[in-house]
Amino acid sequence: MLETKTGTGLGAPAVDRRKFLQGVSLATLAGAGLLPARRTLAATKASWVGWQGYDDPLKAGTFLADNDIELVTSYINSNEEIITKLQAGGRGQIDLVTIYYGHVPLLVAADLAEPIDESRVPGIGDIFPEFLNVDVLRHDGKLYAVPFTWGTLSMIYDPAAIAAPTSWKDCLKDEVKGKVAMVDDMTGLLATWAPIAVGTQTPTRLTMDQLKASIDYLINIKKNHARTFSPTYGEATDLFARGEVVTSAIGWDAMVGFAGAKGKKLAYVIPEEGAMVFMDTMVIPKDAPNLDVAYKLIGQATSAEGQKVIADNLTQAVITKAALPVIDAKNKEIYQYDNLAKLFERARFYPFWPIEPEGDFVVFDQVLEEYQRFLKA
Amino acid sequence: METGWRERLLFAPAGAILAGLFAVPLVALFVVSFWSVRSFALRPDFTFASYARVWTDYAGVFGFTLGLALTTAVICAVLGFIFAYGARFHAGRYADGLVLAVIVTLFGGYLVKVYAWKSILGADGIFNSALIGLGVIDQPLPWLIYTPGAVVLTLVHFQLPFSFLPIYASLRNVKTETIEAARDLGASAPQIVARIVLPQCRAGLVAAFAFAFLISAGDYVTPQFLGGPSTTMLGQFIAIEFSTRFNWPGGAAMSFALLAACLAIVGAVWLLVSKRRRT
Repeated sequence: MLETKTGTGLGAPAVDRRKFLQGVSLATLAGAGLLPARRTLAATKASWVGWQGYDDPLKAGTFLADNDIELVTSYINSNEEIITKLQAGGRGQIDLVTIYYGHVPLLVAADLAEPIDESRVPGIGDIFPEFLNVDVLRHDGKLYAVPFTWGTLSMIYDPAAIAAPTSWKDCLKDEVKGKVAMVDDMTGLLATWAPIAVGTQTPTRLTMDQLKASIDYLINIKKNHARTFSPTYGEATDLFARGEVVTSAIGWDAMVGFAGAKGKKLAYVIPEEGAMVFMDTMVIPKDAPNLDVAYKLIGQATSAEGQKVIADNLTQAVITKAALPVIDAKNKEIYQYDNLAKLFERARFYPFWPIEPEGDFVVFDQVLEEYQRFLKA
Repeated sequence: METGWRERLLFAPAGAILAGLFAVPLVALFVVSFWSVRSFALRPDFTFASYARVWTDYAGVFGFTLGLALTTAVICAVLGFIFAYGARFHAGRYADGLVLAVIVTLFGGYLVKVYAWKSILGADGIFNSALIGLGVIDQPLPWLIYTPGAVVLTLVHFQLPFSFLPIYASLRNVKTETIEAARDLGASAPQIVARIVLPQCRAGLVAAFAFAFLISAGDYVTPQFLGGPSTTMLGQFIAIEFSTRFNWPGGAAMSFALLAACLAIVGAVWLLVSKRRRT
């Protein structure tokens, strides 16, 4: 008689397939019984799409727990991603987006935005009128976007490596050649360099010749001065942290905060040529599945507590007077809330690119197309 | 043996998955490649404009992409063969361990490897720090990173396991007795490789080349993070067309143009190899 490896001789093995499966099932049930009991009422899942860091105010304190909200975030690399996400099936799935104010007309034109019921936004009266009354936020008398934060696309530099720059052209000097950060931000790059390249006062109103000349200027910076072409401001911050760059051809105030978290001290300056002011807003997409939750999120984001998080974490400006008592003096010194007109002399608010033809000026589609030439260079 | 309807029915689940998750989306996207878009909205026209744009506006990027992918694929096929040959014929009882080591590297993940090479090649990375520490250089070497070479290096690192495995599988079919017989008849080591081993692992080599080439041609993350200001591949523009511009026809046309070029190149390599076998 042949002995099997189990030593039981010919016949059934000690553990057959049925017994094995029974054992696994029992073990699984026993293990499941040891798991923590799930909540009997599931939290409301709120879908949020926007820039990384802009969700920090929503996660501050106990807001989400108090309101039984589970925040599902999706970060973007460009504002246009929000439009494509909504067009490609996101409508009806997303509750709130944060988007650059200039894109609001695009969302409205494509029927992708809900009008805002201003009575449901607590503290809307405290929002600085310079931002709340920007005309592109409204269409047919209805508000479609609530201001959320603003800041400047200023020049970021490493104070340990170089002296504070005074001009954007300082990044083109030989001593920093190959050590310049440059980020894929079409409107930011053109708003910064078109005034220098072609002398325009309104860089978002360019003729085709001016656009081409500005793109040629940017190509020169990219090919001959930039260390690399970063896809995001986060990647550019990483370059500073690793010592690859010491100055920038475009920057975002929040990079100072990002770098601080990596243990790197950076500084920023508004050069003599000026810098672009941006404003990001909150928009409720059309057919948002959780409208009540969306208004709660807006309320939290524009509250003093939420705005303080923006100021502390991202070194950006607050949008509401209600936050002024709780933000630090350094932030107030940078953004001069008591004299915004003076700040705006050098940090400027530009209108968005024309979407429809406007005289000889290029439209948004043409800018996107010409920007491809810059990307290919 | 004739295949009855019952046997054909067994293929139905796999066929349904292939059709539903691969063929149908591919055909749908191919149709979209002939549409147009305006103000972030698709228009079901019929136009070759998107394909013409690939040729007129992206020919340079197209060629660069294929060139970089070819370089990566050739390096992967050569290195994969060397490692597989060593594992098959010279590693003895350690062969399985070497194969396992290759498989384990696949667990690392793609982005992990990209960031790893950023750390290794960067100004404060291992190479530069070691060279500065040894006194060989005073300043970090800027050309280690943000160059096409850095992209090729990272892609080779990621693709090599995919190239090694099919070559090793082919070499498993090469009988050691054949090699011993050739050696007894006076064949040198290079002659054994060229006339005994290589002809028998052609299919594996072509598969290795194809894997590395196709994956590299479509990559868009590695050049973004390691490629530098002038190292752009077509995959990056395809991603922009879909994610930023909502230009699905443009992105689809680029994708199918790239697919056609890649299939042509892989087909040419296969024909070349087949022709050599017949002669």
